[in-house]
Amino acid sequence: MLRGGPVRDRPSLCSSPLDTAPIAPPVGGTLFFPKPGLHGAGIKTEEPTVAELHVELVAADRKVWSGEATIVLARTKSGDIGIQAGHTPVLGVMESDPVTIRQADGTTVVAAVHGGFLSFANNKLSILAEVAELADEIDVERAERALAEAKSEQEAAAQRRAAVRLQAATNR
Amino acid sequence: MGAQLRVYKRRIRSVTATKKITKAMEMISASRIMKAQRAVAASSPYADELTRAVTAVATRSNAKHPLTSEPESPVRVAVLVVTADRGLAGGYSANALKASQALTERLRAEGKQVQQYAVGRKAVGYFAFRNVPVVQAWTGFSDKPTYQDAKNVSAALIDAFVTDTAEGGVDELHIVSTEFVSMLTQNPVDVRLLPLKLEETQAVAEEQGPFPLYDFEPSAEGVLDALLPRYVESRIYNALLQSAASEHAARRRAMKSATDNAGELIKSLSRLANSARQAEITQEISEIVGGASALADANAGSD
Repeated sequence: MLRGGPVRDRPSLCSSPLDTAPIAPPVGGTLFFPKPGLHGAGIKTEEPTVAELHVELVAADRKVWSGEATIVLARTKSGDIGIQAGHTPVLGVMESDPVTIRQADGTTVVAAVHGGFLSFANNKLSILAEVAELADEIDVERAERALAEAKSEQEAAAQRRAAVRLQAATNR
Repeated sequence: MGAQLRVYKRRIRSVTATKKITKAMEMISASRIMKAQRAVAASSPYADELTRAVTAVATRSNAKHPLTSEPESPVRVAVLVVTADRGLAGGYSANALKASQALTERLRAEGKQVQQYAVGRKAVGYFAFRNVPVVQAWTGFSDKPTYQDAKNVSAALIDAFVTDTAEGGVDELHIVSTEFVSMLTQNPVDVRLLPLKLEETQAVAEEQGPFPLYDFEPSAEGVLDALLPRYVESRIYNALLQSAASEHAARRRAMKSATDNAGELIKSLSRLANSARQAEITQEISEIVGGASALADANAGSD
């Protein structure tokens, strides 16, 4: 299940009524800045400011990350969810999976999140997890070792944790 | 050097060594209080958000959950007491155990059976000495609890709670821990953690204004199912962290008074040693004078 934020609250990016903004979440790159060339060559359009939401990524024992973002992609029990500013209030239980936070300047923050949930209201998204690590903090070698260990010992939960860590670390 | 003086000197040396140790422990504890307080502060964003979320679900849906349902006549209750692993912390462990004893008596008076759970070696030793059976005990992390420790403890307790009473489960869960008020004040407190009282969290909600209408993923029940155990874990984690901070504060205070006492003792012992030395010198002088005059008398007599 892929969902974007509601279109109504998003600032209009395009002048043509036919050319509606894409709803699918972006995969890499800055999707929300339309190329000036597409909307009439030579006319310098002002770069539209994308509505931002405040994100707090909190682990049980510390605050991992907080800041402004344009879109946050996460996986809940009932499927992937993309949250942008103005999304309807949502409270969801998350799967162990990497969470991608895309910022206005095009940088992305990837974090491995284990056993948590997200709540979005009043333009503020809180991602709470028992364990959350930013991709930069993850020790790839250790995660690989843990993955191999978990595989040999047939521990599904540990294997999943290590796999999510690796996935987050390689996506950074 | 006379025997008396030697004894004093030896005692001063020994007390000085003890003072050095207690001074070091005092300073270590002082730095650990800071760390423990920081850990409490670092865990509060999670706890706050969790409380908010639980309240939001509880107010927006009237979903029933095993962790919130009040049994009509509770038969068996679990009491978890949080103490230190090591001693030399003044009355810290003793106070928590006293509070747990009072709670146990109160629950017994209400006609409930009490099952004891313990955190910390001091509690384990206390119950072993009194032949009180302990269902489960956790040791080794009282001064620096991690979230994983809280998870282990709460897993066992939630397990006992959701088990049917007929099959040996418990109907209520009480926690006795020590609340960190300030560096000088720590109070043993007992709270009933399970079944969860949602009115408590609803009071918080009223302060913050009405909640938005949340969409629940996958469903209100599903969210509650996932949230409530986390909420219990976070409450237990908070109790462990507060107790750890209290333990360090109690130890610091105990070690400070031990250091002060050692200082006093050294002062009075050195006074005694000084007077013993003076007495010795006086005695030597009077012996010399006496000996000289005896000699002079003897010489005068022989003339």
